[in-house]
Amino acid sequence: MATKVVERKPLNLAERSYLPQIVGGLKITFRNMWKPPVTLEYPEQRPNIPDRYRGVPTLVKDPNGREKCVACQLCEFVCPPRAIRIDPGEIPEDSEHAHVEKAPREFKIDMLRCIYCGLCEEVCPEEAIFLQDTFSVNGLSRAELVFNKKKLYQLGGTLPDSHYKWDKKRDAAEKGGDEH
Amino acid sequence: MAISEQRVILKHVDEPGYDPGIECYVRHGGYETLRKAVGMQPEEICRGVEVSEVRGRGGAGFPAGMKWKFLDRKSGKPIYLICNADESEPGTFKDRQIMHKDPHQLIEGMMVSAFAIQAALAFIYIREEMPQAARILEAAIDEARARGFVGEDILGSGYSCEIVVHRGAAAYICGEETGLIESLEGKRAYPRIKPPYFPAALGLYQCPTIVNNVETLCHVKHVVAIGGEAFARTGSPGNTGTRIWCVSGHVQRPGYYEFECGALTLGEMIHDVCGGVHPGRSLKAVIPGGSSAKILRADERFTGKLKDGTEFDWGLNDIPLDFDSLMACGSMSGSGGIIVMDDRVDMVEALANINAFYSHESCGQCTPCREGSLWMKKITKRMAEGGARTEDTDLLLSIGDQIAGRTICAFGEACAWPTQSFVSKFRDEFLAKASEDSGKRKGLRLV
Amino acid sequence: MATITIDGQSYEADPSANLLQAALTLGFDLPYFCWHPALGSVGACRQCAVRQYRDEEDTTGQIVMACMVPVADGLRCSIVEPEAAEFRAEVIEWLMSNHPHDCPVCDEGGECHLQDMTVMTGHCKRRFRFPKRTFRNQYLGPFINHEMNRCIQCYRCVRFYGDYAGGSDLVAMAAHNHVYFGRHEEGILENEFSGNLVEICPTGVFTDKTLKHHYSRKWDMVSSPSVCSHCAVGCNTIASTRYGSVRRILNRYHHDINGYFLCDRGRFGYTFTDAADRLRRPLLHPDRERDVETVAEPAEAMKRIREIFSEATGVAGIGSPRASLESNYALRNLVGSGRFSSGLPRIEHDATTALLEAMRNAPDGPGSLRDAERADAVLILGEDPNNTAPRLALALRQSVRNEPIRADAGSRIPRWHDRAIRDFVQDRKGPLFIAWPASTRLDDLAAGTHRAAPDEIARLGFAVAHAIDPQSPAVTDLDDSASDLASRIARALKEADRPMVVSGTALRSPAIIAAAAATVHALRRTGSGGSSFLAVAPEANTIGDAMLEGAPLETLEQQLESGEVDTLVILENDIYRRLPAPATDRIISKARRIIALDSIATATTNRADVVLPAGSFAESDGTFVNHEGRAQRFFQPLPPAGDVLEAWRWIGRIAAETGTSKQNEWDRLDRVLTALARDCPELAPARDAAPDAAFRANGQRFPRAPRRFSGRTSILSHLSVHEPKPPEDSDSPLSFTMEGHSGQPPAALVSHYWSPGWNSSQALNKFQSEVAGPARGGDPGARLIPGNGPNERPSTAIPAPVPDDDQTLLAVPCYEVFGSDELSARAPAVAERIPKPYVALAPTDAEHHGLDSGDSLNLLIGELRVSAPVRLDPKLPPGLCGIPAGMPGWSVPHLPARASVVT
Repeated sequence: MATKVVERKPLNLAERSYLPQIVGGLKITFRNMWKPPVTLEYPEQRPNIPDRYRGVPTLVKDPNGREKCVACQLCEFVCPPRAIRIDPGEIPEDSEHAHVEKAPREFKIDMLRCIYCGLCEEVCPEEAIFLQDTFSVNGLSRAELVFNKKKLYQLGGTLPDSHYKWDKKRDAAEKGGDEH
Repeated sequence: MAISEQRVILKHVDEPGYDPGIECYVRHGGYETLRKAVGMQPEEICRGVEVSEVRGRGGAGFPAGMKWKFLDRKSGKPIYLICNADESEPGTFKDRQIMHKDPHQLIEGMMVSAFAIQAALAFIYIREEMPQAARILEAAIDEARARGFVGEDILGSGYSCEIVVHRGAAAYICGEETGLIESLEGKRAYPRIKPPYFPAALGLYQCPTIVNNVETLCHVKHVVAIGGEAFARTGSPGNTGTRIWCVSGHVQRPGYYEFECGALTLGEMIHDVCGGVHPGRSLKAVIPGGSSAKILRADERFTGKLKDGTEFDWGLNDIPLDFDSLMACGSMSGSGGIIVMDDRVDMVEALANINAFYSHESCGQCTPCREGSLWMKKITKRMAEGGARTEDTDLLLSIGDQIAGRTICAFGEACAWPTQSFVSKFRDEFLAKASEDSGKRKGLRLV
Repeated sequence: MATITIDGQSYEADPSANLLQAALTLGFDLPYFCWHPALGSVGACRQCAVRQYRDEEDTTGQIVMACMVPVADGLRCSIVEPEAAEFRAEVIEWLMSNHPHDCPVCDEGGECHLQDMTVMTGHCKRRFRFPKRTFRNQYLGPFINHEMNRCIQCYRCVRFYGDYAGGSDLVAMAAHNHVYFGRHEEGILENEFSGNLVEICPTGVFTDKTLKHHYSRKWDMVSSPSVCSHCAVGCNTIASTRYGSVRRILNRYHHDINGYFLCDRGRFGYTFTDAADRLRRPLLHPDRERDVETVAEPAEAMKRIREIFSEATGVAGIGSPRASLESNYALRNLVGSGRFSSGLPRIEHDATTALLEAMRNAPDGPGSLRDAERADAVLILGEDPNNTAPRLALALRQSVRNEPIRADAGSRIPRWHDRAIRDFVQDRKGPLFIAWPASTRLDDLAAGTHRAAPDEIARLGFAVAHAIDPQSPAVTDLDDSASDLASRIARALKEADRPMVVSGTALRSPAIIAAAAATVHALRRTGSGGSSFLAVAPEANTIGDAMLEGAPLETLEQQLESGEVDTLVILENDIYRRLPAPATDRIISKARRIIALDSIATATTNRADVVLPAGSFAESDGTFVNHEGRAQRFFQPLPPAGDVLEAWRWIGRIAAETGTSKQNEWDRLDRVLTALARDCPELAPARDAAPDAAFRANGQRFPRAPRRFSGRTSILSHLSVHEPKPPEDSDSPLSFTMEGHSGQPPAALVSHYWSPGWNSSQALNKFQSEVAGPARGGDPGARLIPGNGPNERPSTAIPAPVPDDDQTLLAVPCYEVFGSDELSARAPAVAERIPKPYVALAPTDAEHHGLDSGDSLNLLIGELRVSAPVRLDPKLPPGLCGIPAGMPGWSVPHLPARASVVT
């Protein structure tokens, strides 16, 4: 391979003194000194999270306080890193939600494994799991980062929708259903 | 123009002083045919019935002689005769008249038929809704037995046959012959699948069985009385004998009328015999053969070729009342129940009514009619109640099209044909429902 | 074979099948609901529509139901034809119109035939916009959950329950769109095969209630091929687990044994593996008292065992008919064959030995359940199959249809045309004769019954043999009705193409078994080709245990007495169930030290010095030898947790610890089997019951977990968030994870039925060489007993007539499907079905003693006092009383015996 020798140009005085560069640099510094800041003082300041943000998956309740999850295990099924564990349970006969038949006895998400893909939210037939705006998950031990049902509901809160699909279903059945 | 009836089956029934008792029947020449029949060879009778070309009066119009010919006589099993008295097609009330007013004619017809096919036992499967008829028949059979017309050694011929009256539990499906057989065996009346179940080979208790309609069996008596050839000359070729037509709906004189097949047209029947629609009304449509037959619109033109090759171009009034002509017009003579509708009738409501009947009478065995008939009923009911949607008309058609021909028994056709014909012939009326105000007629009561 | 054309391609198909069967066998995905390979076709669902053409010229054809079309040469049809496909989608739309979309809460979700078929037909857009039909559900007992809203009216449930299994309390009610499948009122489903509704139902109407209590989706369960441990039939099962416990048992198809069905004992008895009284840690009982037990570390327990062995003058081993062949053999090897007991009392031991002898000498070997299903004349001699081998009763129930069908061959109705065949057969039943002291649930099928004492039953059997072949000795003093019956039975058996004699050890009578064998041999001598002897044994490995030829328990008692032996190793055997308590106490107290291995705490383990926790069927690999002498391997779905080990592995460790063998000699199943094959040539084929641990496909193991197994990283997060290394399996070619060979394994290693597009158990069609035929690559298991043994003239010692005895009653054992089996009785759901203790008495005897139904009866049987309410059985002959065998907490062993009524 042919080589070409390039001769280095000698520096002139201005270049050798560095002064024009220093002044140029200071100009930028002073210009930005009076502009509003673009960074956040995290954690004292918190960012605005857009609605469609995919943060930590959480479980939600309906406005009547019924846990919306019916333990169908589809999120467990679809979860790419296999981070969800559900223990399905029966709803006791005497519960006011007995007509829903099932609810999770335990629901765990291994947040160390979760990849925030949102497939669980997408697959949920009951609209019970949502990736909400919590993005920072931390703890002092690994075990702490396996979120259980209680923690997931704490993070999730209530979904203010008013479908009450199961109540409607119960009411329809109690009315004796449709004519035959 | 008044057309007079040609009564054969109903010859005496409405005569003053005629009662259903055996004395009266014998006085009018009753049981003479049975006496004649037991003197004949059974094969001779069968041949006579075949030559007479008498067709089944229950709905399908299958030649009775042919049915008898299919009988499996080689199996060595007993042969059964069943009289299908489960008359339940809406618009039909002819068998009831026979059983109520002239039960011995049926019994004689049955005994002649039983002798002809050498049946071991005969049944009358009668609908629960006709308890009076059942009692009349039971009493009549007792009378006939007392005189040796039924039971052991009939009229000294050495042939014995008993008649058992069996009351069904009022299901339309029991009118279907294999459903009837199942019901008679004590099971759910679920029609059997053909093949292998042709009753003539594998019928009641898997024995050869003949199932005939009440009117058909009565005709057998007359076939034997006058001879097959003579019988074949009545009516029109291929549509022999007389038929009882039951006219109901918006005519001035509804009722049952007996005429030779093809002796008059539908128009003559409606306008002349039954006095036409009520004054100030006009004819809108006619269902010619019980509610499952396809509807005919008053302003329709029917063109095509008959079986013998002659071309025809008829209006509704020109259609001769027989088996083949109605079939050529795309409908059927069915069980002879002519339902006349005048211009007051809301076709959607009428169909809702018919669908309500069929969805209730579906036996529930196979999917298309069990689920489809209820769905069609729900749609038509909603449409009639003013909740129609634009897609309903096509949806109805698509459901109906999928049912017909794809079920175990003919009930699929029975419940799909009304929908198919109503929707295609009165499409505008159905479509118009979608643009009407909705919800104004909630709570429509259907049958 | 017939040549048929499907979508323009020619195929060979079996002309005795219908088009649907043929299409499925050929690998086409044609949806169906009402058809079932074992139940046949009824043409009700209209789902399998195809277009059939008359010939090559015919281009219009007509839509027909494939399940109703017989395969015939030249048959032409199209599955993909658009109108047929559209109709199939429409049928799904109809079915879906009232099906609640509650898959998320439905137990069937993920393994639902309706889901599969919906996807298969492509129906996806709902046009039905009305409220859905609803029903009220019923309580159907502890096994089955009822959710009628999901019903698609395919009629499979009532066809199985009523037509196939003979149940009368599940029927179709109402009509049209409101057909309801249920009982006339809420209550427990009576039939002992109700559990099959779970698999028969194409959707979630009938679901497994025991599964519901600890639910898991099919895709999440780690499963392995198993063998039912609740009777000797050895039905093949799939045991599924999640989170370390067994969640359910499913049927695993075996062409010759269980086919498509299990009994409820086998299906729901599994929860004993998770019962509170399971042994999971070694226990030391310093004073042989349960109250002062200490939980020990395995090493500590081993140290104690070493001490016991070093002090012992002689060690004897008590094997068990419910322990695996490997465990029994390991024990025999540990103590030496001279000191090995089969674990049975003499009375049972002798009967079992006689049975084994009869099996070895049987022409063409002992018969299978499939033989029973195809038999056209059956004599049951001294067995009550509904209660002792329930699945056999279901097979026999099918057999009575064979003779009427055969007798009317002219009808030419194909066998798969179920509706027609059943109408055709009506109530006609082929010859089935039952000789059993009390009434049985097969009586409704029987052409004749003989209810008598065991010896009289044997005499009837010998009389039948004599009537078939006069060379067999005649029975003297037989009463007229019995000799009449004997000649009727003989005639029926002789006229049959496939006669079968069923006999077993239920009445503990070698004479009955000898009589059965004499009948079979008499039939063979007189030329009946297919004569078959079907042996019934009580427990999962009774035959395997007997083939190891241990001594009866009484022999052991003598050895203890003589001081030759002072230490016992008891393997998975509760001696208190075998011998009367006083006799057991004697053995226990004579033994200076006792080491017991078991999976469950029993009266016997409570009195052992050292108790080692053995694995149940769910934590063990091993082999059971079933009633036909077929060795069948079962594999653990669960890696043993805690200190639990397979019993044979414990015994291997004891052997190593005490210096009788090297440590590594017994630590692999294959090594135990190799040693077994070396020592017992008759048992050598047991090695081939399943592929050995080194078997691989393309170098890969066969996964126990399904491919969609979920929660993997979080499943053990309550223990450690670090994903642990999956357990290894040195004993089988299976892996505990989802990794491994993705194709179909050999039949012995099938862990779940799944095929693309077929998530329900109906995927089974893809695992068979032809629909309802043998498994691909052959059915699993190895027949150990080829039959045709040298002794063609078995014992002809005809017992004397049973003398009349006014003073005492002859107590005979009777059996209960729920209760007589030790393990399943511990499952809570089964326990609900166990009847209360009773003594069955003939009404005349009850009257004689002034007793009425429900009154308490006190009996003295030997040294045992028995007290229980009277149950009147009008079928029981006078002089006999029936006492249920093996009832939990109320065991009366050692029957038949004379019992005197104590007032």
